[in-house]
Amino acid sequence: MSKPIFAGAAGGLTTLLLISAAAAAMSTTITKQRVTLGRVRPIVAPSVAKANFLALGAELEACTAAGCEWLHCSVQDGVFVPKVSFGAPVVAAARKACPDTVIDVKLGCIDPENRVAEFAAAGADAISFHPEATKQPAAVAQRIRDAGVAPGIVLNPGTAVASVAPLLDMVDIAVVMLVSPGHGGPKYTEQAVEKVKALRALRPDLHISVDGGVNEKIAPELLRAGANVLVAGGAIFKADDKKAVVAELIRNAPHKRGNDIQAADDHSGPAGSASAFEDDACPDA
Amino acid sequence: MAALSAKPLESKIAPSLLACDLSDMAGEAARVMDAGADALHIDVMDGHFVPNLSWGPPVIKKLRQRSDAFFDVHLMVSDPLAYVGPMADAGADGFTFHVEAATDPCDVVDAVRAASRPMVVGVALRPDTPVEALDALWRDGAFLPDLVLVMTVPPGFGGQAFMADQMPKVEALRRRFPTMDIQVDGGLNLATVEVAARAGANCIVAGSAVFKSDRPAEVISALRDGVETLALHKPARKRGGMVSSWRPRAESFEHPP
Repeated sequence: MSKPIFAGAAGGLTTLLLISAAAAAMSTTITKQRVTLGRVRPIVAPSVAKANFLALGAELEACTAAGCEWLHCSVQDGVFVPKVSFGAPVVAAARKACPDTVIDVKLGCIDPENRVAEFAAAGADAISFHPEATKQPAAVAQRIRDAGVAPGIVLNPGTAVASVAPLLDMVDIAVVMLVSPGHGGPKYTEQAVEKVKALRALRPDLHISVDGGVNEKIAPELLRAGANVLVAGGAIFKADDKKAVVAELIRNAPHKRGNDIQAADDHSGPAGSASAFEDDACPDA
Repeated sequence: MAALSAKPLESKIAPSLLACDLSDMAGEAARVMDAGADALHIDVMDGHFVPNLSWGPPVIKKLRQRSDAFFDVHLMVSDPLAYVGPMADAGADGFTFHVEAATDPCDVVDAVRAASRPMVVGVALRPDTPVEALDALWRDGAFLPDLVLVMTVPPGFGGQAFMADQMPKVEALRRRFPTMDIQVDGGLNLATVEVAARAGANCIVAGSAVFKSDRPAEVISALRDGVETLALHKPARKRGGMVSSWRPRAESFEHPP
C-alpha cells in the first residue's frame, strides 16, 4: 500500500499559519513551511520537558547543533496524564528557537481533537495522541493530517499493537511508551521491545519512537527491534558534550552497523535513574 | 496575613510572564523586575478551566531558583485545592484561585493558610461572574481573601481587548473594601489603566504592554502613575524627561497584538 508518508511528500505542501488572537495564546505568528519528518533513520529527540526552562532557546539550539533532528514536546494536561507539563506557548517558543528542527508534539491530553488547531498553529510538525483519550481516533488522525501536520499514535504500556492496527495506516509515527506517563512505576522494557518488533513488521516505513527512560543501556535493544526515534531525557541537557551523548545513544543502530547482533554491555554510561531528573521542569514528562 | 490588609494601599504592577519571550524566561523575568515591577504574575492554566495550557508547578519551582521576585500566581485550574501543596513547594508568594472553580472556596483559603509557605490568598472572578459570588468567602464577619482579581478579559489567552464593563465590579469592590488589594488582569495598557484606576483598581497585571515594549521601565512607571493619581489620589510625581501630569498619549499606547 503506497501512501504519502510525510506531510510534505510528493509535491511539497506549503502551509501558511496565521495565529488569531483567539487561538494559541501568547502568540508568535508562524509563517513557514513545516519541517518534513524525512525518511526512517536513527533520530535522537530530546524531551523539551527536561530542558532548563529558564534558558529554553539556548538549551534547544545546543541540542540541534549537536545533531538532534527532532525535539519532543510532551504536553500533559493533568487529566489524561496526572501532571501538567506545558502547552502551546512553550511549543511556539521551541519552534521559534529551532526553525529547522522537527517539533514532535505528544498530547498526553483528553480530547486531543480540541488541541490540534492550537498546536498546529504553534508550529508542531507532528502531533501524536493516545487512542484512549478520544472517542474516534481515526477522525483525530485525519484532523491532524488536514491541519498539514504529521499524525502519530501513542501506545501506553497497557495498549496493544493489535488494538491500533487499523490506525497504523493513517499515521506517520507510533510512539511506544516504556512507562505509564505521569505515574512513575516500572519500566516495561521487554513489552516495549515486542511492540516495536510488531510495529516494524507491520509498517517498514513508520517512524517508531520509544519514550520513557530511554538511555544508552536499553537503546541498542530498542534500535535492533526496529525503533528509530529515541526520546532522550535529562542526560542530553546535563551533558557538556551533547554530540557524544547523541552518538552513544544511536551507535548501535542496525542500519549503521549492518548487523543485528550487538553486545548490549560493551559500553558503560551514567545510570538513568529517577533521581537524576528530580530537578527537571517536568518529571515524568 | 491580616497585617497585609491593614497597610495603606499601594500601587502594584505585575507583568504577566506568559507574554514574555519564553526562550529566555529567566532573562525576561530579571528584565522586568529591574525595570521596576513589583511582582511577576504567573498564569497557571490547566487546559480545562480555561482552554489553554500554560505550565505547571515545576516551571515555577525552576524560576524560583533564579529569581527573588514576588511570584503572584494566578491559577486558572479546575481543582485549585490540588495545587496548594505544589505551589507552596514551588515557592509561590501569591495564590489566586477562581471562585468558579472551587466547590467550597473557604476550604481553599483554609488550605492556603495552612500551607508550608506563607502565601497571599487571592480570589478571581471571570467576566461573567458577579461580585455576589464572593459572598461565599465570608466567615464570622470577615472576608477571608487578601486580594480580589477582576478579570477584564475572558481568561485563557493574551492579547485580548480590555472589557470596560467590568468596572462596576471594581467600583463595588472598592466601595466595600477600601483598603484591600483589587487587581485587574486582561488588556491592561497605558490607555486602559486609566479606566481601571478610576474604578479603584490598585494592582495591575499587564502582559504584552510591558514585555512587548522596548522600554518596559517607562511602561511600568506610567502604569504606576496612573494608579497612584487616579486610584490612590496621590499627587502626580515629577520626573525628568517625562510629562509631569499623567495623560495618556496616543503614541505611547501599547495596543495588544
